[in-house]
Amino acid sequence: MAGGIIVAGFLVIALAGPVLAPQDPLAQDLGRRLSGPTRDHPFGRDSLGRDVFTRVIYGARISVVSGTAVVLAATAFGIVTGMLAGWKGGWWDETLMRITDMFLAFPSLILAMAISAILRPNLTNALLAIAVTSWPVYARIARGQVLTLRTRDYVEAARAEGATDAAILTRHLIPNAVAPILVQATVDIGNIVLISAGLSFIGFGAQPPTPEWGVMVSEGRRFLMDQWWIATFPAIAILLLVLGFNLVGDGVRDLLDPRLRKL
Amino acid sequence: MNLLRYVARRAGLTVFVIFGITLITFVISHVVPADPVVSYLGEHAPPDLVEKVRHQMGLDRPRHIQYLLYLRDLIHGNLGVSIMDNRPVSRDLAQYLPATVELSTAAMVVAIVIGVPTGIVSALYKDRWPDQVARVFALGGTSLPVFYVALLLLGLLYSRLGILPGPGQLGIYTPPPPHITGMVAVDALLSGSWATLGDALQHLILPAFVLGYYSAGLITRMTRGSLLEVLRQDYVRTARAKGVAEPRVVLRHALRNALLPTVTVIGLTYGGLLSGAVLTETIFSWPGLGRYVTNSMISVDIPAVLGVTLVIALIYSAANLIVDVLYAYLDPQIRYT
Amino acid sequence: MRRLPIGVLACILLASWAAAPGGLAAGYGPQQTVVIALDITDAVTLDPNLAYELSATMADHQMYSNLVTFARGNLTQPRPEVAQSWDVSKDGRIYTFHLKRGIVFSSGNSLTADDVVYTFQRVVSLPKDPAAWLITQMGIDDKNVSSAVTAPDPSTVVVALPKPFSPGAFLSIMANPVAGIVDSATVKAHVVNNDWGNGWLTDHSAGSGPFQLARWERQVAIELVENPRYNLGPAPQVKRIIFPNILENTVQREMLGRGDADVAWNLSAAQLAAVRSDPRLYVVQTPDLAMEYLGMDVKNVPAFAKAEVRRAVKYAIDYDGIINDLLNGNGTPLQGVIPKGLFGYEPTLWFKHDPAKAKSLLAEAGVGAGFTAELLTSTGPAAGGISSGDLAAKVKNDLGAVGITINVRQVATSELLKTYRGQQSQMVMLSWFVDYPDPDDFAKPFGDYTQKSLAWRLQYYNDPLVKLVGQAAEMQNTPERGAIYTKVNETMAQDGPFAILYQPVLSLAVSKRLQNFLFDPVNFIDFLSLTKH
Repeated sequence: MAGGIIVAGFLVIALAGPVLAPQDPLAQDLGRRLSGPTRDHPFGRDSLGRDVFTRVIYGARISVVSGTAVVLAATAFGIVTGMLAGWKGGWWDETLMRITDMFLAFPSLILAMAISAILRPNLTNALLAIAVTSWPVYARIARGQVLTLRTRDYVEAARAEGATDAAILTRHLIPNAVAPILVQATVDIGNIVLISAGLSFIGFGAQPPTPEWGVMVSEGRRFLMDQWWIATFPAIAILLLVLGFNLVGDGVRDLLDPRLRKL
Repeated sequence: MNLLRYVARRAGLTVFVIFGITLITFVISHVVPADPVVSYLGEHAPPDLVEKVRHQMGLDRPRHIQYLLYLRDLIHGNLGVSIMDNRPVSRDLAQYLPATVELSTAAMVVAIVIGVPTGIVSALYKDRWPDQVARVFALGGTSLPVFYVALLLLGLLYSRLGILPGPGQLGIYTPPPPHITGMVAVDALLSGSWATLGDALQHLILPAFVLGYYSAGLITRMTRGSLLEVLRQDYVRTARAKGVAEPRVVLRHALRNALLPTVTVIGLTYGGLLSGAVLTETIFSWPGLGRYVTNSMISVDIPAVLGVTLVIALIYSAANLIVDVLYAYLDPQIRYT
Repeated sequence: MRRLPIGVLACILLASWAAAPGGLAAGYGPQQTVVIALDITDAVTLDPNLAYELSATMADHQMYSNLVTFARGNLTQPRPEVAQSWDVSKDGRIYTFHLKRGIVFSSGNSLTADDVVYTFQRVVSLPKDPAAWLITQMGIDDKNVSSAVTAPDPSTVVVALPKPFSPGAFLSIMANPVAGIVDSATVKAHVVNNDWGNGWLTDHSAGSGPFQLARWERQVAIELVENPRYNLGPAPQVKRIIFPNILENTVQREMLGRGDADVAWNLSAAQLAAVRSDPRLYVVQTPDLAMEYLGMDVKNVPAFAKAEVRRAVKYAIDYDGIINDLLNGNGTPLQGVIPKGLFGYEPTLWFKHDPAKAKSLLAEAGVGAGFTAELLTSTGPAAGGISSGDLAAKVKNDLGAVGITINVRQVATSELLKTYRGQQSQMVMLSWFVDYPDPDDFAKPFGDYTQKSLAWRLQYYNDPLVKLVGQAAEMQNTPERGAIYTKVNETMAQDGPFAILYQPVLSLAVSKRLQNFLFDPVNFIDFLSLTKH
């Protein structure tokens, strides 16, 4: 479970960020801008003389927090709608599923771009936009799970005992439906980091001087050939974090249900 | 359930979805805190010119009237006039769509050509070193930011080493082929301009690879997973017991069934390609929809945003529909209600 | 059997690969072609009477001739081009242009006074014309153009201005691409649905300049080839100009390095520094007729209502730091509102970086404890090729050091303009670029709020200043005019809501294969004198 180690590492960095970081992520030193990796500045300095190592660490906080927040919001909303659709069926189901279809009919980056552009580009709005594009998948999964599980014996039994719909949902269905959602969620955090970085790259997400990794790669791309460290270290950070979550996702999937290989 | 009815139902739903999208997009794009007329005219335009042009563009009418007029035009196939381009949106789309389709399709081909064999190798050598290498490769694809890879490879392979040509669909001195489909490589092929075709293909490699790498990763994992699953099935064991040679087991019996889920992935990744195209096209100066999308959102070009939204949603829905139909057709056990 | 078609296809592909051109030329080879890598996505149309964006006007400048022009380097004195001489009436309202004889368009048609009249008609009649205001601000519109601009005979054009207008500005505008003379016969032949030929002229050319349009593929390239009928001067050595659309300046730099491009337009300050140390390349520079400024709204932020506070801001800025460190020297100091290169330019630098002085001014004004303001800037680049984000971060630092807390908000330009033009901003950071090379083009927007331009957007209503600007507008470039502009600059510096940060230097990275490279911010590259080895 190499993935677990990587992710745990990032979590630690994210939580302990300011303590670990040697410098102030926003402190400029124009005189020594664009200097390469040294002992004091292991990742070098960027175009304004800021310490890249520090900014990468602060970026870890941003990415881990954003990714988790978005996933939590998306899964919460998705589970609620999906369960509702699957349990109630009929008119509820049709309408909710058509709405999710509408969102699924969109490549996520483009929809996120549109929402960001409308709401004015900054990190919060970008995350909101990504959450909006992510929840349909969870709704679909949740609905599928409810449809499968509602015919199980224990559900029948509970109903025979007179349990309310809400009780059945919360006590029996959600815990059993969680598995595929968990798998999807872990992988999704990685995707969210990528999409968010992509949005920042084209200017629709986090803005400078925020030390978000996508912003850093975007700012550093002009210097890629000569002062490669400015864009490369944040890119490696993105790679490692996403990789870590993907591995964890794989591991969770293998662990929870080896038969679950569908998307 | 009858296949035809299924298709018809899905198509009908798609139309409904498209209309819903136009309404949503229209509503929210009018909430944008930006003025498309000023975007078009530039900062120096005096206020009276701005109002005059706003009237000429019909943007001073009440919003609901604008939407209704838009719908009416839409039904007649008219997507309106792009504000930033001063041209019909349909012409803009017709011009830029082929380049994106060409790039996405090439990327898809790359992804399949790389992904499927890698997935097969990975499954057959499960847990041994080819599998590990393949999985790292696949994971790398899905974890790397595409814009970084694009810049890096372009810098290395073009600027430093000169192995591949620079940005754009064709070299600067290469005259474009006659316009048949709008896709440069295809047009060169159809019109027999071999030199141009070669140039176009050379320019296509790097962007297609960069864009396809991400999907290649997904396809590898999918293929590996489903092939492993299929190889455990009874009919495979039967074939082996009967003495059928291993390669034949794999190719004839297992692969066909294993590729079914891969087909699903292909449909889904096509949408991902459209997203990735936005980033890739900027870096490679590829004259496709990606750049058009970004520009129209930045300058709040409402007709263009609406037009692009519709087209992308249509393509995506069509791709999903085809995949679902293919899936249902290939696997008689699955018929959706 | 199924293998065969695939194999054949593969062979075809491989063969065409090998045959791929390395330098295939349609007529003119690389030796006679200049390739300029820049971002041409802003081009909307190549119709000269409608084009307003950089790439389009640059191309139009080569394809169309004007009544007058500005000779390289001298932007204060218009020179004859199509008009060999002109007379101005005593009240400065009637201009009589005497045209040269024998000028022909690329089609072979002769250029006469009727073409000039038709050009004016197009400018004021074309709908959705962003450039029209240059002419309509003189009082000429589609209702009076037939009486304002007339052709008494084929070699004479008379322009009668309906209201007083600066003579210097008028002639400058005549040299602007918006007044590029079109071949009326050819254009009229392509009119569709009363569009004044705009549909056709958008991607074709009908001018008398040294070049004509070979093709314009949107988002791909603009290509010009020589106009063999050009007779307003000697033929250029360069026969073909290609502007390929290259969006990333990193890629522009790479193309330059590999020899695929001769000029890179959008390089950043840091990239230019790297170019200087490359023996095959050199950097060409000229001060751009533009400036980057901070605007302070005098009503939305109570502190900015006081002139002392506005001055304090100007003392707080580290001008040298910005020019030397951020811009890498690609900027020159400017604190007046008229940039270097124009008549009326004021080299005085009233404000040195002095945080102590700034703090004492703030205390004097009663805001010694500091205050907060929101700085609105765009997500794109600032003048001079640096990122607005970087510059805003520096300004935030500088102002923070004297107690003014700045919250930077970067938004898309379209949103920025909406807020700014709606008088809703607190502080803005933007650039302002020249339209025509007359000091009035800067003095009016910055100083005269009645124009509903920059001063108005920041709610800076200074009536005596308006009078001064109006006075200077009507004068020719005399010492008296200079004296008034000195006063205007002084007033803007001491009292105005604009803190001028710097004047950017326009820098191009050029291959040493190109020699005799003359370059100015109005005419851009002089292709007539350019040579390529």
